[in-house]
Amino acid sequence: MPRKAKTEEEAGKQSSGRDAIATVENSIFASPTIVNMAIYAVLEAPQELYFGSHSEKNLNILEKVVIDTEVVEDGGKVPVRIIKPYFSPTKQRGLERRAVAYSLVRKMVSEEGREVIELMPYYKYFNLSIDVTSTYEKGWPDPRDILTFLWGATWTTPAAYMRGRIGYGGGVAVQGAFERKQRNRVEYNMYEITEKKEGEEETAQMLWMKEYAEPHLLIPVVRHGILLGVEDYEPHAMAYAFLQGLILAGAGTPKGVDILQAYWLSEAEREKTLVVDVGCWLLPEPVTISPAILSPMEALEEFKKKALRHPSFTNPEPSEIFEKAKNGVAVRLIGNTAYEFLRKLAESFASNYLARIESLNTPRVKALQAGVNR
Amino acid sequence: MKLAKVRVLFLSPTFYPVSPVSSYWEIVHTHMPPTTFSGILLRAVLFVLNPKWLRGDYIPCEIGEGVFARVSRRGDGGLESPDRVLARRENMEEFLKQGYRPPYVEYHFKAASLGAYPVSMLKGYQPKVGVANKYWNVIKYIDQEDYHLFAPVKVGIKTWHYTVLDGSKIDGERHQTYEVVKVRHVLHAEDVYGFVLVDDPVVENLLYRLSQGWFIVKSRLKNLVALKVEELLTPVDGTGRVDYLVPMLTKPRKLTYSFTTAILDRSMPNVEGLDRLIVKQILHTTDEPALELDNLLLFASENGTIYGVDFKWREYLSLAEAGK
Repeated sequence: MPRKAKTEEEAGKQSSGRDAIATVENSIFASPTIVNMAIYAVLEAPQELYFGSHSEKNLNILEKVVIDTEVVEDGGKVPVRIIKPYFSPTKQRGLERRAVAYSLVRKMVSEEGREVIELMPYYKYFNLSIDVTSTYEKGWPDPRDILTFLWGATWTTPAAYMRGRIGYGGGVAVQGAFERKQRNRVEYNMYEITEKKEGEEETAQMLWMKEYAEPHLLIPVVRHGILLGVEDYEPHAMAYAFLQGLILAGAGTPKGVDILQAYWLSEAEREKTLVVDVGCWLLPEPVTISPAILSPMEALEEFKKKALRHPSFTNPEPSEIFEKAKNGVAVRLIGNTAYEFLRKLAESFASNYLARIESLNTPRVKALQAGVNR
Repeated sequence: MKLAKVRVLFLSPTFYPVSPVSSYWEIVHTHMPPTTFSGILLRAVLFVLNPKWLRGDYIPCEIGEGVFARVSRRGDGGLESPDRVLARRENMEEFLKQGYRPPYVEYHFKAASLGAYPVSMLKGYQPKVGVANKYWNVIKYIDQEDYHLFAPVKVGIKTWHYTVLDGSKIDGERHQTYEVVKVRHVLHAEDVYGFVLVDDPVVENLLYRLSQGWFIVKSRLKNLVALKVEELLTPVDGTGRVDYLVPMLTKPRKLTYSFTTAILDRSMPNVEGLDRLIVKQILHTTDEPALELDNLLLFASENGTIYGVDFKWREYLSLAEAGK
């Protein structure tokens, strides 16, 4: 989107770098409760999944990692090369961005003299281009045009936006399970070609090979948010994006991953393999699984061992957890409790932020309405 | 003087380019260079001091200071020249006097970051790493020293590197801002430890506070890294035994030292069961071979492990005062 040419008067008034930084300050630290939050989860592919690396002729290649390691065999160490599917953090971030951008918000519009409620996608409300590839067509990225106001970024003030403060990790699958499969597929320009003219032969569909990650692939992932303002619904947005993003995982069809449910905490009940840490200062040890681990059982053991190394909290009520965090306690939530906490945050984001976006008193919405930084 | 040993955990496959020039991005480090480690450690230290000092990617640690270039449009839609560029490589010293502090731990405390290394590298072996090859559509960076750019086309984006506006002509050559490059990410399949020499009670105290939990940060290249200070090692006299050796990667040079990121460009010989004669072969110590033998600082861990650190790292520590 090209920038509007400014008049000389406007150019004279435009804010200096220091003003921009002050805006960042106001934006980030306006919230009285600021927390750090980390989400560790083991995701499970309920069906085959595809994450693209690149395409060769009639062959879509799955994104993978190669690990050279050693296994113990017959009492001795044997070097092995393991190839595993890789759901890269950049892809995870991209689908969470879309999860937020496509969410519906409620806007009051005037229609024939009366106010009616209109639902529109988040990105349209902020008048943003969702097509990132066209963002730079003029060679100058408009900071307002890249992503959403909440999930956006600018060159100079990324910390003002959640995207600058949320990191994505993990993504290396536990098993090396993927297969090359044959699919019938129509080329993208086939519709033109198949318009039959007299004397022309009908074009056949092409055979296509595609690599898929196999069902029950386990993918450990990490989210980490820093300096999230509770009153600005930032931890809520992070939880909402994480849960909503799971639905969109995978390129093409099929889509979707779940948080693995397993008997990892007790033998009586299947619990979500999920850990959430909330704290003001330093957090407990990250609950990660080494990419060198190949067995799902061993991976879950590792996950459980690290999760239980820090005492956990059993009440999923967000207000109590944020109060504890504010008092300097690093809170860890495990399993279904952690899931319940995320679900409450996500519901709160939907009902208190998305549905009431016009009446919000957060600095970001106020700034948007005042036309700052546009 | 103490040696802080920091456990480093990579929460995702990690990308450390050896160069800001994108076409070289399939050659990557297998360890975290001192510069990168220094920046991340400074963030951790600032975080326990006051989280509000953490800034965005392009704004270093203090308000209004750092390298910052802005290009704005005139009334007629044309571009104005960048209205401020706070620091340049050639007049670094002058900027230091003015109070500019690059976002490295050396410029804020009497401390020197030594980088972070997989355990096998500290033992003298090639590290055990996995790789993930990716293709990125990236903004091209240009080293300011390589091109004489007229002001409006360069846009400050990273400390010393610039991108140009899409379609700009430089020396008759048309530049496109974006380029598809092959990027290689590294997965560490073993423990990674970072080291920092400190000679400053303030930073020692802050590092002790960092040992109370894990600090998680997103690196500039969007990788999640977790840090925990495990131990502050104290110096010991030479005993003839070294269990782990922190490699020396570059020779210190005043002012530019923390901006160098050389690759470990040779295979380190196996130094297990370390004997000084072998150790000296793999260190970039001094031009005087006669002096090499005693050029190790030794630090003992609580469990009795001895860490050897090249004597030259201490020069970094004395240089660190330049930033005070």
